[in-house]
Amino acid sequence: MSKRKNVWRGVTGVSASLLAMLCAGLNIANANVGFINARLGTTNNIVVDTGDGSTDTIYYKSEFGTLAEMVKAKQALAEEISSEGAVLFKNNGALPLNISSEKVTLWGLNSHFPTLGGMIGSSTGFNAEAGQPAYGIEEAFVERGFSLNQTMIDLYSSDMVLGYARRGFGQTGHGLSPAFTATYVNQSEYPVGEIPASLYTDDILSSADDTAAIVVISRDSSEAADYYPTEKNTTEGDSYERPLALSDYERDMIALAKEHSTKVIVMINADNALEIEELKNDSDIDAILWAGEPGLYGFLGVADVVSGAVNPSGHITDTYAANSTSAPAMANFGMYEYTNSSNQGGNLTETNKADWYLVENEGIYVGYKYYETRYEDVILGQGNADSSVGATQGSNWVYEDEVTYPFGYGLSYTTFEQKLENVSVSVGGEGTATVSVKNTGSVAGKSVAQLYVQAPYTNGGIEKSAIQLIGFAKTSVLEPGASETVTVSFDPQYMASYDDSGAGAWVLDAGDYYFAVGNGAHEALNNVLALKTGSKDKLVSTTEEDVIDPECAFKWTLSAKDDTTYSENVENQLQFADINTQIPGTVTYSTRSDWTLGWDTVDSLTPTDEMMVGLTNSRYQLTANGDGVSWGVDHGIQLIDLVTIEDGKITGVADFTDPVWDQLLEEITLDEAIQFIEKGGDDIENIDSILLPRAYENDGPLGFTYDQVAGYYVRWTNSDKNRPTYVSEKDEYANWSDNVMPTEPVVAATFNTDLVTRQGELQGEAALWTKETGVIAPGMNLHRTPYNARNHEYYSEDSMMTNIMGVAVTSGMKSKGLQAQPKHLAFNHQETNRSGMSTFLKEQAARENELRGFQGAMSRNTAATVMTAFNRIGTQFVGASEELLINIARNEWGYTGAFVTDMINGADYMNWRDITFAGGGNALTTSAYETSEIGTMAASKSAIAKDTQFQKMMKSNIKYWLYNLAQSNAMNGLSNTMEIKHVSTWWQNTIYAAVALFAVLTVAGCTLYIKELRKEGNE
Amino acid sequence: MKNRGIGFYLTLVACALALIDIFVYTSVMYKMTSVFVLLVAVIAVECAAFFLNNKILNEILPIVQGVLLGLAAAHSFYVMVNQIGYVIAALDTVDTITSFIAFVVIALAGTILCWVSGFLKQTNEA
Repeated sequence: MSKRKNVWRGVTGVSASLLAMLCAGLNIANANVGFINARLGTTNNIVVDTGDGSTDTIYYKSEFGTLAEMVKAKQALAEEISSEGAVLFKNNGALPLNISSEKVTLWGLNSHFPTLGGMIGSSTGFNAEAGQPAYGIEEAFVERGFSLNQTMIDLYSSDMVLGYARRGFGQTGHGLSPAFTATYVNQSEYPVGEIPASLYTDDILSSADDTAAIVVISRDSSEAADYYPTEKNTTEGDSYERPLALSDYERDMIALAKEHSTKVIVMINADNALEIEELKNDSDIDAILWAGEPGLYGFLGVADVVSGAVNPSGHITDTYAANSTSAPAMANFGMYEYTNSSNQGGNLTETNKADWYLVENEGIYVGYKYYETRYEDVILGQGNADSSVGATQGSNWVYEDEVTYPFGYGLSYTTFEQKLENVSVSVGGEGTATVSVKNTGSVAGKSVAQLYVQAPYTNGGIEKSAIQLIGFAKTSVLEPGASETVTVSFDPQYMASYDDSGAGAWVLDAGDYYFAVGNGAHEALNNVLALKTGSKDKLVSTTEEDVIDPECAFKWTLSAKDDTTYSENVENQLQFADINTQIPGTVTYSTRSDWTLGWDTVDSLTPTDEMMVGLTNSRYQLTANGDGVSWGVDHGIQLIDLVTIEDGKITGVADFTDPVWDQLLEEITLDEAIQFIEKGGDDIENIDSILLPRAYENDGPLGFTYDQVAGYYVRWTNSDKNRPTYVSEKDEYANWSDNVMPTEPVVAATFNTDLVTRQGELQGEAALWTKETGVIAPGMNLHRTPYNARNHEYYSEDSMMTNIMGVAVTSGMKSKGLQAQPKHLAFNHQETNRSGMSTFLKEQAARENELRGFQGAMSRNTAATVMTAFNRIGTQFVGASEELLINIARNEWGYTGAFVTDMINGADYMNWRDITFAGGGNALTTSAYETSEIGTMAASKSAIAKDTQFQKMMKSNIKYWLYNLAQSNAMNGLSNTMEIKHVSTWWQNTIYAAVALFAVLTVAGCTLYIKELRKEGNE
Repeated sequence: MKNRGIGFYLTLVACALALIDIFVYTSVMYKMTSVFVLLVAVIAVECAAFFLNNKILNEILPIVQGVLLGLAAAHSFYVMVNQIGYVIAALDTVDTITSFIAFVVIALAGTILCWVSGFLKQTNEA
C-alpha cells in the first residue's frame, strides 16, 4: 500500500514541479514575446483586411525585383565608397601598380587578418556558412587580378605565426578587449599582432625580391572599448611607445620590405589616426594609402585604387598628428572618479551609475580647430602660441612638429588647379561659392572643392577657430585638361559663433570673413593667411604638393555685428554643464588669448549638493496634479487616416499642429501608452487602438546588424507572403548579413554627398527586404580624440563634416520610408565608463562642435528618431535633459522627430520617469526596469494616472513617434479597412498544451495520492 | 529522528542546497526578491516538518519543496534573460552569468532530490 502511495506522491511532485516551472517559463516567454517572435518568424498580431482587398497598400516600393539585385547593388556601392574614400597621403609615382607586370608582396600578419570594421553592436558582420563572401586584402587583390607572393601568404597562414595574431572576443583579427559594461579598470594591454623579423627566413625574404611591397599597418575598432596612451603591447617581444604609434615589429617589417622590394607602399587599415610622421619623412617609403576599415567588400574598392582602375579622390576627415596625445583634449581622456563614488565607499551608489566624470577642457579646439588655430596664432605672433606648453618636441610649438597630415588632406594620381571664383553670402538665406577646377595632370579623376571659412577674431572675444569647414562639392570625373565649375552651397548660420557669455546668442561679428578652398584645412588656412597678410613668408606647408595661393581665398565683409538672425528662441541652456559654474575655478579652458592655458587634468572632483540631485536621479517625482487626460476614447480614427496618399505613395501626413492628432492620441489606452514607452527595445510596440502594428528597428551604421538579428528573412511571417519584398527562409540570400558597408570615416572621406545619399537609399531598400522600419544610424558623435576605439562608428573630428554627411544619409533613408535614428545625442566621447558618466563642457563647445553635427539632420527633420547617449551632460542623464531635448532640439532647431534611449544599462539613472518628464522618448529595453529600484512603468500605473503633467508628456512623446511612423514604411500593408487580429503562435500553443498536460497529471497524481493516503489511514 | 525515512533525509539535503543557493544568489547579477522568498520557504517548510513532526506535512514535504525549488530556478530567469542573450551574442563575457548558472544548477539539483524523495519513504513505519 505504502509503495503505491509513494509512487503517486513522486509522480505528483514531479508533475507539480514541472507545472510550476512551465508557468514561470510561460511568464518569461510572454514578457519577451516580441523578441521570440522576431527570431521564430511568428507574430501575435495579424492585420486582416475587412474590405475587398483591392487597395494597393505598398506605399514604399522597392526599386529592385529581387533580393539578389538589392544585395548586389549594396555590394557595388560599398566598393565604390571604399574606392572614393581611400586617401592617398604620399606617392612618388609608385602608385598605381601595373597589375600585369608587378607582383605584389603583402607584408604584415595583419594583411592576413585585416580589420574590416569594429566589434560589437553596430559593427560589421557576415555569414560565411550561408555562402556570403567577405573580402580581406588577400581575397580582394586576387579578385581584382593582382599576382600575390604566395610564399608570404603561406607564412602568415601557418600555425607558426598564429600565436602572434590579434585575438579578441572570439574573432581573429581583432585585439581590443571590449567591455560591454562600464570599464572600471584600465585596459592596460593591446596586442598589435605582428611577428618578429626572425620569422622571415631567407627563403621567405627572397620571395619578396623584385616585388612591390604593400605593408599593412592595422589597428582595431570596437564599441565598449578605448585605447590608452599607456597601454602595453602584449604581442610577445614587441613594444610601442603608444598603441597608435608604430611598434618595433612593424618598424622591423618595414625595414625588411625596403630591403627586398622594388617599391614600398604602406597601407593603413585603421579608423583611429595613427602616428606616421616617420613614414612620411622616410624617402624609402614610396607611397602611403589610407584604406580605413572598409567593411565587407571595401578592399575590392581599395584594390581598384592600387591598380589605378580608380583614381583616388578621398580626403582624410581627422587630423593625423605626429603625436596622438598632443591635443588639449587628451589632457582629460580616460577615467576620473568622484571622491564620493560608490567605489570609494561614498554616498553615490552603484544604482546611481554616477561614479565617473569627464571635463572637456579643450573648449571648441577639437582636432584641426586646435592645430590650425594655434598655427595661425604662431604666424601672427599672438596668444603665446609658440610657447613650449603643449609642444610635442619640448621646445617652441611649431606646426611642422605637430601635424603629419591635416584634416581634409588627400592626393590624386593627377593634379588639379582650383580657383575660388566667387562667394555669395545672404545672412539668413543661403551662401554659395563658385569654384573652378581644372585637371592639370595626365590621368582622369575627381576633385573635391573643400570650402572653409575664417570668422573675425579679436583677442579676448568669442573663441573662434582660425579655419572651419563649411561645405564641399565633388566634381565628376575630369579628363586630363578638362575643367568644371562647381558650386558649393552652405548655410551661413554655420559661420556664426555661439556667445555664451551673456544670455546666449549666435553671433556674426562685424569684420572680414575669409573663405578659402584648399587640399585640406591647412592649405585653406594658408590661402587665407596669404590673402590676409599679403605674404607667404613664414607660412608652413604640410607637404611638397601643397600650394599656397591667395586667389584661392575670398574676403567677405560684414559691416555690423549680427546677433539676432540666428538667435530666435535661443538662449543659454547648458551653462550647468560647465564645471566652473558648479565648482568655480575647477578648470581653465583652452583659449586663443593664451595657449599655455587649458592643459589641466581634472583628476579630483567632489560634487556639490546641487550636482548630487542629478547624480542621484532625484530631479523629478510623480505627483497627483491636474484634471487628468483622456485615454481609450473611440473617435473612429486610425493612424493611416492621417496619412496623405497620392498615386499609391505617401506624400504627407496631417500637420503636426492639427487637432486630429489629439483625437488620435485619445484613442490610445493608458496601458498601450505605457507599453509603447517602456518596452521600446528591439521592436516598436504595436498600438492596436490606432492600427499601428508592431514595427522593427535595429542597429546600425554599417547596415542592419547581424549579431542581433540574423539575415533578411527573420522579420517576415507567413501572413506577409503577398508582400513584394517578402523573403522566404529558403531564399539564397535569406541568411546573409546586411551590415556590410564601409565604416563611417571611410564614407566621410569620399566627400561625396551623392554617394552617401545613395547609401541611405539602399539602406532604405534593405529595410523593405528585412521588414525593418528604423535603423539606429548614423553615428554622429565627434572624434574628440583618436583614442576612442568607437571612432569607426562616427564620421569625423569635425562637426560640419558630420552635419553634411548626416543630412545626406538620412535624406536617402527617409526617401525610402526608413526611419533614420542618428546616435548618440550627445557627448558620447569615450566608451570607458560611458554609462552615467558626467560630461562637463563649455556651452559654446557643445553647440559648435557636437550639437552642430546633429543639427543638420534634426533641423531638417530627415532624422525621424534620435538615440540618446549613455552619459550625462553635467550631472543630468542626456536622455532626460529638458534643456537639450526640448529647449535646443525642438524649440531652437524645430525638430519634430522622436527620441529613444540607448539600451537601458542602468535602469535607475535611465529611468522612464525622468525620460518622459524631460521630453525624451522610448526606453530601449524589454525588461530592464524589472530589476530597478524605480520598478516598471506598468507597476506605477495608478500613480501615473494621477499625474496629469506626466501623462501629457507621455502623449507628447508618443505623438512625435506616430508623426514619423505615419511617414514611414510601417504603413506598408495598411489601409483604413483593416484591423488587427490577435492570435497565439505555435510556440505559445505548445507551452499552453504542456501546461495543461502537467496540470492534468498533477491533479490526477494528487487525487490518487490522496486516495492512497486515505486508504492507509483507514487501515 | 529515528522514525525518519530516507526520503526525509533527501529533503534535508535539498534544504541544505536551498540554504547554499541563497548565498550563491546574492552574487547573481540581477536578483529578484521573490526568489529569495521561495528559497527561504524551502527551509521554512523543512524546519516545520522537522520540529512539528506533523504527519501530513511530512508526507507532502518533497512535493512542496520540489515545487518551490523548481519555481525558484525557473523564475530567476525572468530578469536574467537579457544578460544571457548578451553572452550568447558575444556581447558580454560568460563570467557575468557564472554565479547564475551555479544558482540554477544547485536549485535544479535540489528539485531532483525532492523528486527522488517523493518516491521514497518519509517515515519508518513502526
